[in-house]
Amino acid sequence: MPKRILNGALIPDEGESQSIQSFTDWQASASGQAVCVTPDDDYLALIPHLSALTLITVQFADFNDGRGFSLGRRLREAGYLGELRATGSFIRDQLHYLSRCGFDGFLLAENVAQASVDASLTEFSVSYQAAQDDPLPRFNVVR
Amino acid sequence: MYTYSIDDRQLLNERVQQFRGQMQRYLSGELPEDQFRPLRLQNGLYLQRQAPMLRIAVPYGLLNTLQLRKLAQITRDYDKGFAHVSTRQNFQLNWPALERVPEILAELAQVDMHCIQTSGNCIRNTTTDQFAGVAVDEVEDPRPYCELIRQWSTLHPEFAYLPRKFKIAVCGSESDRAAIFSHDVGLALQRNAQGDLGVRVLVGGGLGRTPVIGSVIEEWLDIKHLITYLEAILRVYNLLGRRDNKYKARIKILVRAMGVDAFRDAVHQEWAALKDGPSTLDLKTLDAARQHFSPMNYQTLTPDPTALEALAERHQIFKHWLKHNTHPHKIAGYRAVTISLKARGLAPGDITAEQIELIANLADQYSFGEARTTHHQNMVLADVREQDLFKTWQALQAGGLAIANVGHLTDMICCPGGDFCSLANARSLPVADAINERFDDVDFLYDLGQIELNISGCMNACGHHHIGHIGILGVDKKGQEFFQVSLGGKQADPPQIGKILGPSFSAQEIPDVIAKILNTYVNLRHENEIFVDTCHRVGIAPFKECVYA
Repeated sequence: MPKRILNGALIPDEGESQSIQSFTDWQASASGQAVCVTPDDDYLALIPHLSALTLITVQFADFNDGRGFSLGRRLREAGYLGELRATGSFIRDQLHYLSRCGFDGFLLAENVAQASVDASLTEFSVSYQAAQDDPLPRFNVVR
Repeated sequence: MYTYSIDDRQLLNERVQQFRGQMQRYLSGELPEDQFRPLRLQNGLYLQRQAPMLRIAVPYGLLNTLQLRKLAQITRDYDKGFAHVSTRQNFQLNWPALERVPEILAELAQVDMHCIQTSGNCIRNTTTDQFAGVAVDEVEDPRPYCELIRQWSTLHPEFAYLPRKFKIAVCGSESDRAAIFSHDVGLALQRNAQGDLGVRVLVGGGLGRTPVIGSVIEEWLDIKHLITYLEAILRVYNLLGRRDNKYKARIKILVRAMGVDAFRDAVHQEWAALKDGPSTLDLKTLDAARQHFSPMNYQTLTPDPTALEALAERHQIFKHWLKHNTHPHKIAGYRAVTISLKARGLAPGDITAEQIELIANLADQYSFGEARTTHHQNMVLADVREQDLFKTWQALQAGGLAIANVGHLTDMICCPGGDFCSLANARSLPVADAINERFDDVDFLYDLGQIELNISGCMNACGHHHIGHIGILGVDKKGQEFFQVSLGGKQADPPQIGKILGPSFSAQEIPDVIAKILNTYVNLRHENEIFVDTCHRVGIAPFKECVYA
């Protein structure tokens, strides 16, 4: 079974068509369309170049390390429109929160079935607070 | 109180479904324990020493009688017929079966209750003044803002995997009854010279291993910015808080390391993008939130103090209860009643199913169908007519709930300790029980006046020992339980961390030690000077001399 998800659908992981640069390499070249960052990198340096990027992967070293959630939102809030992909040690049970933080791509560490992906991504139909998927909090809408 | 809409209920039901699935996957071995751990914690489920523990959220301590009766039923059907009120105003079940927890969550959802974010490294239940909305010294009822914070923080996608837990308390009165200085974020509602509502923002307070009094980062923030500002604080903490050492992961350590000014700068930098954005609270939202907590349908009463006094003279026990367990109310002819859960023989904060039902009945009869939990591990009926106080007292008395010790030595805050909790170094409950047994002479207790005695079974400080006038902390020395005593702590006006008296004591020594401390106080006090004020005036030395003599 595949482990890669894009926009909610499992897709065959046939290797990347483009090469993903490490953040250090990207900084050195200041070009390229795909880059991998971790929360320890100075990822805000990407912000002036976001329109040139089509893929940013965010590496999770540990699924309990929630910095990647804020990192994702920061990049989306700065206007990034390309694929934002979570990689590393996050878990399936985090897909919903990750997607609300702006992640639309996922490379899971373990195999997963489409039904499980669907279940995790759609398990909540209501949300209270603003996030990347909905800029308006419910308390400013229903009142 | 806030009434759930279809959407609120939908969210709860979806949460129950989600956890049911996660529990199934865990029990079948598909979901490993390390992955299940944060998921179960964020549904209030701990795996404890003897049995699992389930912590049920009571948002800002407010309950209706439908909810109380459901809690009573759950404690009977899924536990041993009693529950425990925690210092976060929540309810805890000490003996639920692991595999039945999803059923319990489904039962709770029937009455708009849940266990969401009652544990784990996320934003926990927001707490407040147990006399919110009725206190005479109130500037603004804090509950509408607590409710907005509840909505904002519930299932917040960005802040579910913080470096450590995150606790917010709100107070809206002159006297701080919510211990806002010992919270990760403390909020004090205030009006400025123009009469506009704002909030004083404190950050980085906390107890635990390193007790810290919170620092002011905003003197006055317009209430409309409440949510965007909190969002900015949380983002800074999520990104910069330490994750390498769980004892250094709370926001207080970050604020201390950065310095308050640098921390404020970082928050302002983050806030710049959020300020005045879509999460800003507009007048319509604030009005809607306040509508949920509009005043009860109070009667216009002419207070008759002589009738009450006459009753009190005829019934001395009632007189004590009236004096110590009832509190002034902003509406003439009404009082707020504290129901002490500190009876001898039961752990502080413990309450039986029958007692919960009794409180529900009394709330329906005499207090507009609502009751509250307090961070002192008691309960409150906030709106009782003075003419109903005697009947209320009689019913409480019959149910073992009329102990007239509120604010006194035996009204202790105490964590469940080593009898239940797997983190504890020592058993705090037997110490509480021994103190209760030793000091059961009410005349002596009343003569001592106001004293807060707080006990924690370990330095995580769930029993708030640092801010007790007398604090007792369980420590482990080479596998043996000992207890360290501190004096002079205060939760507010102004907040203070207690000073350690000296070398620790065995559990058996504690009642004698407390007796010596109290005797020293009685010998040194000025007229009408309460214990903690004497401590501050004379310092710790005289107590030390007497205890270690």
